[in-house]
Amino acid sequence: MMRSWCRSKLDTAVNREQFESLALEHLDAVFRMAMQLVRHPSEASDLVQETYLKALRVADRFEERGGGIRPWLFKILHNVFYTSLATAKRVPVPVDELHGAIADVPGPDEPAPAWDLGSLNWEFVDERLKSAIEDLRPEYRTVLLLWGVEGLKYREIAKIQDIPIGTVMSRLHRARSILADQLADLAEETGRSGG
Amino acid sequence: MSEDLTAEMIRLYCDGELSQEQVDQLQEHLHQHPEDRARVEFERKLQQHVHAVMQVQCRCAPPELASGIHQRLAGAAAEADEPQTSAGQVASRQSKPPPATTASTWSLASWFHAPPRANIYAVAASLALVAGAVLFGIFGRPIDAWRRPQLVDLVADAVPFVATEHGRCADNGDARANKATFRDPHLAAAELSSWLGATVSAVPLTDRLNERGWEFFGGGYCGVPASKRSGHLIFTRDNQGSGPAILSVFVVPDDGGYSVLNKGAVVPLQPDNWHKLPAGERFSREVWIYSDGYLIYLLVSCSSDELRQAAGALQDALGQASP
Repeated sequence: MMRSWCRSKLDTAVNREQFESLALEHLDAVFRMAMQLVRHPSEASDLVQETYLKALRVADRFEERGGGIRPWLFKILHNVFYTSLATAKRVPVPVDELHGAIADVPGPDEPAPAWDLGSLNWEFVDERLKSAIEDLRPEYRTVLLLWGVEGLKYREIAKIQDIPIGTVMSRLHRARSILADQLADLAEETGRSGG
Repeated sequence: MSEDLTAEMIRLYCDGELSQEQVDQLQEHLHQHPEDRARVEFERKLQQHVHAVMQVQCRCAPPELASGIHQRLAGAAAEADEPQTSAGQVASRQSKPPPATTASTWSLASWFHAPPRANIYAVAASLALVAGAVLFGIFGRPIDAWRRPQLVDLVADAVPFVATEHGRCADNGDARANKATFRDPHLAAAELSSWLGATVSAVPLTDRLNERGWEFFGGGYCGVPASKRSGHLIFTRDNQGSGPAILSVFVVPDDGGYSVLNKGAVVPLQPDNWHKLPAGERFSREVWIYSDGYLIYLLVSCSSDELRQAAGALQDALGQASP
């Protein structure tokens, strides 16, 4: 339905406005992801503007597959960002999508210590989590955002980032293990200072 | 933590990524294992706090961004309209719907109202296309001749890689563990089937290999050369005294473009034929190759006996006669 709407009407100014209002509903989410990629508000704004321009140009290729327009905007953002990187040759595009990505990932059986932390006070974990998230590698942080904040499924994240679903799983697993380790440290510190 | 439940499974459960059957099994397990229930609770709380922290941490879009986007989209739309209209006309157009396009207003009535010469040209063009298609059908090359695939030599491209990769997994427990992203054969079968676009029979293969003393260790994505996508299944068997034996099954989609070196001649890989390649200068492990017409399976292990067992298990799993 969305596709036919785009095809038949997006070339008119009236429906460009419709597209705008539909897409701008997700502006905060798109900006959040842009911030994860570029880490600077003005660069993130530029990236988001390019994303919306590109989205308008390719709107007739949008197909509604149950997730709405938001994952589609994320995918375009991701493409615009990595295309600009590749063009500028500032940073190499990650090529760890196949077995390379798995090499630095712990085995799925790796025990993580934090779930038996009886002494962990959840009221005080946010500051530690905040700094731990800041310290994560960008690819882990992005997956964490798409999963934790945007609530996307693994398959949607894989499609947005153009990586295998196993890489999404391993990045998410790794990111959560790092955060769990930080909470374990916090619980230990709290236990020590408390007596 | 109970031994048979991995951190990965707990997280898949919390993220709603397990099948209903797996959820039922896991819930039954959780009912009996309070320590794993605590892990589930931990993962859920962690997710809630990650959500809260990241939402605050990642600020909202600045207010001027929306207006900037609005201006740029309007500018882009105006540029697109430039050839047909002036800037003033663009502004007036935004206030009312534009006239319908030619495509959307085409109808049988418009055909009859079109200038007669235009209709004659359209009919003539259609007749010319039909005549061309008929002549091509009679005198042209067969369709198959146009799409004959380029053969890829598996021995040159893929076999040395799979032999080396198997060696790495066989010799190094960490490499093996890292490779095995999916530790459950059901999950491996589902993910690799989705990845490769054809059914990977990991579950029946595991069943058949279990009967022969092998255990499923894990599966994962792989980068076999000459293939866009490929997977790797790893099985182990405890050979008492001499350490674990390792069996690798690499899976590659068969697009009909593969060949193998057979007694000095390169021949297309035929479905249901085993190609047995002894270890040599170019690859250190014996490799057996099999195609079921949809997927190519490359089996690598340390001995011919192990490969024979694996080949039998694979063909049993695929519902075919053993080699």
